[in-house]
Amino acid sequence: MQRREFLKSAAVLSLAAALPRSAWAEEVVFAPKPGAWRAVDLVTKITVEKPDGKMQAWIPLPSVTESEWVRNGETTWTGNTASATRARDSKYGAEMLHVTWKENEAAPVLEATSRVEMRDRAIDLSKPGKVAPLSDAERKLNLEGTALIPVDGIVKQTSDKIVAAANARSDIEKARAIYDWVVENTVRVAATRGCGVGDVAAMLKTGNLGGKCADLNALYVGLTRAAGVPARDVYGIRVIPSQFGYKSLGAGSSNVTKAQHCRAEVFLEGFGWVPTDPADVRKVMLEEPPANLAINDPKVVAARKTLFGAWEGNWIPYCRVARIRSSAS
Amino acid sequence: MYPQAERASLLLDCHDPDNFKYALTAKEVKAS
Repeated sequence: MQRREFLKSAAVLSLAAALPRSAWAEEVVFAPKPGAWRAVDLVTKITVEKPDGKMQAWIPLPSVTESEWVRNGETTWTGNTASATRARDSKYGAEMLHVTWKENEAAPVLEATSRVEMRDRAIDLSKPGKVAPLSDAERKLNLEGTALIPVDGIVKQTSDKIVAAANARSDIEKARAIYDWVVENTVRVAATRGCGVGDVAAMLKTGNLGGKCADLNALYVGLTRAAGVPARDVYGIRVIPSQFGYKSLGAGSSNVTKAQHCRAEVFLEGFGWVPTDPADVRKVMLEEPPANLAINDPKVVAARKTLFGAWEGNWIPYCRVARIRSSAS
Repeated sequence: MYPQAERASLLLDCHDPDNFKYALTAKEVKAS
């Protein structure tokens, strides 16, 4: 290294060491912005082991289309199925491929390929604009309780406490307060099966606020709905790495078999559906190298700041309902 | 959002790879 370069580097290091922690946080760039579209072919291959009797399968298909951030292309499939039919859930619009095999099929197999284009989302929450209000039906759907996400009882009580403690009055203040509460009071548990069950009332009753994305973001959705603000989960899968270097927030390779991820949206007047993901803040804390980061670690601070209002377009949304089979029409 | 399957009318555990195998792969291609 040349002496001049060394002195320059040393000066930078000295300056960095003297910086307060908040200044370090400013150096972590996590800033998704709507820009170029990216396209991915997502391939799902299914094999039924030990074939026996009647066999059938349901494969989730990307079925969320939003002109600003996700476009679905063609889905094709191959295999030795006896039938293959696209089905659509009438309530949530979730699509799936329902296939059956003959009873004597020795090696049932199905491979489906979906082309999806997506890009980053980012809402400037300092600049409200004119946004069409939700229809009465949409508002009702995204405020109502479900079997696993009730909006009364302990969920309502907890939501009221959070909102009161934060002195939150507007929808955006309530949504933000609940986001912060979920980030600060939950924990990601690596041993959770899949993305978690999302039994919000059980989480609050037991005080066990651990889980994965379908637990933590369902908790966010339930608490937010209970505060009278429309919210919904979006179930999908990470398909490409994070362009901001977050290893925990992107696909680690082309094999995305275990990369399912649930995000959330909240509807705010003046902004429309706003992307959010408190569960991913906890994921950064647990998994981002060197792992077990503190809540004031710059990478966590940057993720927390960004994931209320933005998310990266490295993830394909499937649908807005957790379980596809029972919802098939 | 996991694939589901039934064998002999019994739902297979989508997190049990010994009975129900599936793989998802993603390949980035040129956007239109």
